[in-house]
Amino acid sequence: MSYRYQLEDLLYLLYPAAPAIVDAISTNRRRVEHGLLSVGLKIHCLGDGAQFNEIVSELGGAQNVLEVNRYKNEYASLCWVLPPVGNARTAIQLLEAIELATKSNIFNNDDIQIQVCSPNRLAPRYAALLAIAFYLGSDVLRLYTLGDFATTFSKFHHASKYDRGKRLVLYDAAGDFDKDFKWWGLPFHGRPFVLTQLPFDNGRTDILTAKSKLDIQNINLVASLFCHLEEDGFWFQFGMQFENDIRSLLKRHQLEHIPGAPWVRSEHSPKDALVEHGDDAFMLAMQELMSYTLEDVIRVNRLGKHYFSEKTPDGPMGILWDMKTLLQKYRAKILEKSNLLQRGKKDGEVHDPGASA
Amino acid sequence: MTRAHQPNSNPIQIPQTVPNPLYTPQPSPAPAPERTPERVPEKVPSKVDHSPGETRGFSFV
Repeated sequence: MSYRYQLEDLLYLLYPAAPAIVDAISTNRRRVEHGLLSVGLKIHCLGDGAQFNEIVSELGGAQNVLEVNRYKNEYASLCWVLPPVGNARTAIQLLEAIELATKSNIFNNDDIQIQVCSPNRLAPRYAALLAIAFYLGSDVLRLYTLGDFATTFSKFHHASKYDRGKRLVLYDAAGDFDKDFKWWGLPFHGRPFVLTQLPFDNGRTDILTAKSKLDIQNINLVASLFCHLEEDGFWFQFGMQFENDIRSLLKRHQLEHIPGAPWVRSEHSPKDALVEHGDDAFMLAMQELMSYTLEDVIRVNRLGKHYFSEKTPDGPMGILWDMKTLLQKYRAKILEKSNLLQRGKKDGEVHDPGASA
Repeated sequence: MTRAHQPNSNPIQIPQTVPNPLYTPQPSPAPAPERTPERVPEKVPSKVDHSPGETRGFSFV
């Protein structure tokens, strides 16, 4: 078990500092929104983590809350695993409540790394696209070194199937898995066939280095699209279209080869027999992506107000614009379709065999 | 902050985080100064011979 406390215990401690937020979390913590996936969070503290001492102590001490989990960023003083919640909005609220209770920043804090965990092990090609979409869609672009991705599971002393290398995307290490979140299956008369549990028993795909609320939202959106594509979920079509669109985007910017790098490592990774070889190959692709993105940042900043004027400047808008537009487009499509379904509930309920009579 | 430089060149400092300019609030343009309205002279009909309050065209007995 990665943690030995209940979410209710944590919410009880957070309540005095953030009563309204905690009430919202309590109401929505198991609620799946718009058929998107549940969200798990891990907070890696690169400072001394003193701001969390009181809460950790109240939850049962470091032994129960922190040390029970062997996994963390290589340079972190602690890794605090939070219980999963049903949607990205509630996950963000949970972090906001912790910020208020500890009087410290979690978002956009250089000493904090937020690991966003999505259920299901995506195929490596989808994990790669998830990482790329996360990076290009972030409101805080980071210039990584390989060391930023080092964790205690990067490489064991003896070769292990749990070697995860130094990568932006990580698979789970057969840890805890909460399957009891609703799943929107393939359409049944145009509406999602809602199951009471996820259609897989384990597996996670994690992004190691989120920083902001937008990052959590984007990771949740993209992971959901690819998970539905893989597992024949309700958003299967959107997932397929999204994959085509993001590959077209990369091709337009002559980066179509980037997803072919080993963005994630598992025991089945064929390309890198040695962990370090895969790390180097991944970092080459990451550096190319960062370099191209930085050029776009410089270009946009140079254009300044002309870039954002109503009349678009001559030439392409750039990769950052393209990715932002793509993510906004698919978020809007999902919300529109989901809201239509909700409005249609008046005539016929979303088919939910698990719903009580 | 990462320092990167070649020998005999000025060191450059590369920040580890770069704000995405698409999400950086852009300064809103200054409002245009208000222009005083130009005075438009009233067009006066060529013949006006009714007094205020009297509807032209009919009268009550």
